[in-house]
Amino acid sequence: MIARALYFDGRIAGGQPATVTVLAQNLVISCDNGKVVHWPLSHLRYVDPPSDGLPPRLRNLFDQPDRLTFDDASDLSPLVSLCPNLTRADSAWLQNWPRLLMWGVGAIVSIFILFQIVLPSLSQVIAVNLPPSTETRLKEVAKTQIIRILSFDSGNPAGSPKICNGAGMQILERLTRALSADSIVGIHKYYPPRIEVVDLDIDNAFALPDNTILLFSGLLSSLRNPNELAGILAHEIAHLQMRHPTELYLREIGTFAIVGLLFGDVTGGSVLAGASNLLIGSSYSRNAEEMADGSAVSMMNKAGFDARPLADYLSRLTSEERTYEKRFPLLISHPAAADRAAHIRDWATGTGSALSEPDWRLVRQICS
Amino acid sequence: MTETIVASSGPVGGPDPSSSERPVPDVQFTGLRMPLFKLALKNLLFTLATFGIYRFWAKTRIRQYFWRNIQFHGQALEYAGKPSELLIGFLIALAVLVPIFAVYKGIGFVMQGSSNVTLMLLNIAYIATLLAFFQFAFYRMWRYRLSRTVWQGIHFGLDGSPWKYAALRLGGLVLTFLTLGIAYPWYRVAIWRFRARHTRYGDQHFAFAGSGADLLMPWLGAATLPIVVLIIWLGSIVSGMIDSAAMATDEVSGLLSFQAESRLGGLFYLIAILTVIASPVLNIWYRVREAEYLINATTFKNASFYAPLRFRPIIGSVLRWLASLFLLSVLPMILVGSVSISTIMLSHDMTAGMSMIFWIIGLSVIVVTMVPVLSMTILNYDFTRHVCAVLQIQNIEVFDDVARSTRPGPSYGEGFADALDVGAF
Repeated sequence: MIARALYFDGRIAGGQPATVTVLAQNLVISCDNGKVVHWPLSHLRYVDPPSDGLPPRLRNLFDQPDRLTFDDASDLSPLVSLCPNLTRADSAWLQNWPRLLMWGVGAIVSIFILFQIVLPSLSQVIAVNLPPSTETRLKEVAKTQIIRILSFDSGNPAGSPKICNGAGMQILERLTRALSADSIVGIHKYYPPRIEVVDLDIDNAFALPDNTILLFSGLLSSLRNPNELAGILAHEIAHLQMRHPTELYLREIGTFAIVGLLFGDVTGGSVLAGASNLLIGSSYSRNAEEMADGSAVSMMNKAGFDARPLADYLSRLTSEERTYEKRFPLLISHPAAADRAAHIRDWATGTGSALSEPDWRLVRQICS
Repeated sequence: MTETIVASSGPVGGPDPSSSERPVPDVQFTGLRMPLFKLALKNLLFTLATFGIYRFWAKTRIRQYFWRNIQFHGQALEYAGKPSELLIGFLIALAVLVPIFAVYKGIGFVMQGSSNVTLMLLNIAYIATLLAFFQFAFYRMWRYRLSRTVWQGIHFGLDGSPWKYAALRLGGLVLTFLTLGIAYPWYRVAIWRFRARHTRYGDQHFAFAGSGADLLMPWLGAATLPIVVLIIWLGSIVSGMIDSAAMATDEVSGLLSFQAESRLGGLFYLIAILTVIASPVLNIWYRVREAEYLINATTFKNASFYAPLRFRPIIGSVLRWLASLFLLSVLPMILVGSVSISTIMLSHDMTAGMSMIFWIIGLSVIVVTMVPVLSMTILNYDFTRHVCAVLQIQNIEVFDDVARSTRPGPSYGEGFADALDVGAF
């Protein structure tokens, strides 16, 4: 094979016109100025994958600076069979793996610390110092999201469900006032929460930022006893007093932002991040749940209500399996439910009923 | 006659017009839209399938494609970057930058919504640091790319401190703001000068001799109307606020502040709306003039550059890009919508409505992820092709005498820029 090419020595930019031939196991580059260069055939690599219309370019191994650009019409097919490594892509992994390993470990440690220590403590601090207007916005976002997802689960994807306003609302307000009094938490004045009842067949309740409790009509119809309701409300009130919901949603926002950074937003990564975030779901720590239980039982005791029905409700839940709890296990953390029920039975000292029979009936009919 | 002028001013060193040999063009772009589209689409699918990890390979492949299809004096560029370098840069950014960034964001979150003056100043400082860091990351990204760009066996490079560059950009922005935009051309020239003078090929630096004064007229032409409209509008808001504050105790304050808001009149709002529509076009026109000027004022030893960029191909490309986005987002929606509605009408089956929602959500996701692919195959492709088509280099042979630089390039790639999501590819 004889071909014409330009040889670039990698030291000075200008190319040397050269004649290229194959001799023994070498590619011999004879420059017109007399310089001769030998490249072993097994060292030959394409600079870039051969593509039509572009003159082929060769290099000598992957770390040598010199280059060879053939003239436009050069036919390299005789070379292809002689050079086994022509199309081999010499990767940089061999040189780079120690640094990849080091920084990979560094990144994992850093992310772990971020999720386990920085994010929780940061959201705790922020939750206490958040301006009320921001917290209201946070609540609106969380509420819309929860209602939208749960509407989907309950087979009512299209409409926004009704917010109930039956005569039972005053009774619910009276009940929350009986359970908790005004207090100060951080920069926030705590007051008995607002309750919103949504007409959806979902057996759950949520504490939201901005001192709000979201109850679903499905929960009201599944309860067997007014003290179960009072216990659930007391549990959510306890979360609110400890500012758990705000903390949780701040942590969610933080997670969202970090996952977005990890996936890189150039490629629609935020979409992925959003989807994964939904799957990851969100829950309070078991510790937070136990604190809320303890506080709820003492609220019930102080009001003179029997707290044991809350334990009954928790035990009943462990025997059922529902899909949405995997996404929003805010009220129950499954493995711990039996333990928690036992603790609640131990601590309960009240004996009274939270609501009279007619009041309980009004509450249950709040959406009709 | 024109022929001879072109030939004699040709940088190749005067190929004999009578000779049958084809003259080597200064600059040639050999890329094709279809292969680029296929590559970008493949990159998108792989990136989605690997939860974003493939993007280091994707970026490398795209750059390889552009680089090897840009020829100067018959010799194509070579992209020598490796995906693993980008990956290391990314891991470093994760280990060092993400925690700092997270705390920083947290602080920003606490500060939002407060109207206190001290907090406002803190907010300004917060935004300024963020901007400075973006510019720092941007400069490092350029340094990595240039250090991995090889032509005729010699590497390009970028010296200079990224922090100085960030300071220059921040200072320029402040100055532009204080002079109501008049200093903008000087600011743009200053950044380009910094970048050009620190860019080298082998051991030789580029040079730049330009002044913002030369760009003042194009800039005023493009920006006067938008800036004046903006100032009048802001002024009316401020005066309205002052009026209503002064009348706060007055019972008719609400009425008065309403009058203050509406005192600008309908004609102003008509002009304002037209300005809002025209500003992007005016901006693109200015950018083209600016790019042309900056390229022409750049030199390399004896070599000089001349790029008579034209506005029409550029705005045409932008319009094609917008039209493609529009078609991509609207046509499938119409299709899905009409099919579903007709199903509901015919069969009274409401579940069709539900599946329509699913389809629309799915299609929106596809549209969002397709935007970079379209930008690459329309905007990036057209811009590169146009610049290469018009760019001429006088005395291109002086590049041949350049020797390799002994300065090492950065050993890993642009992690900060990647984490901050700057740069198109």
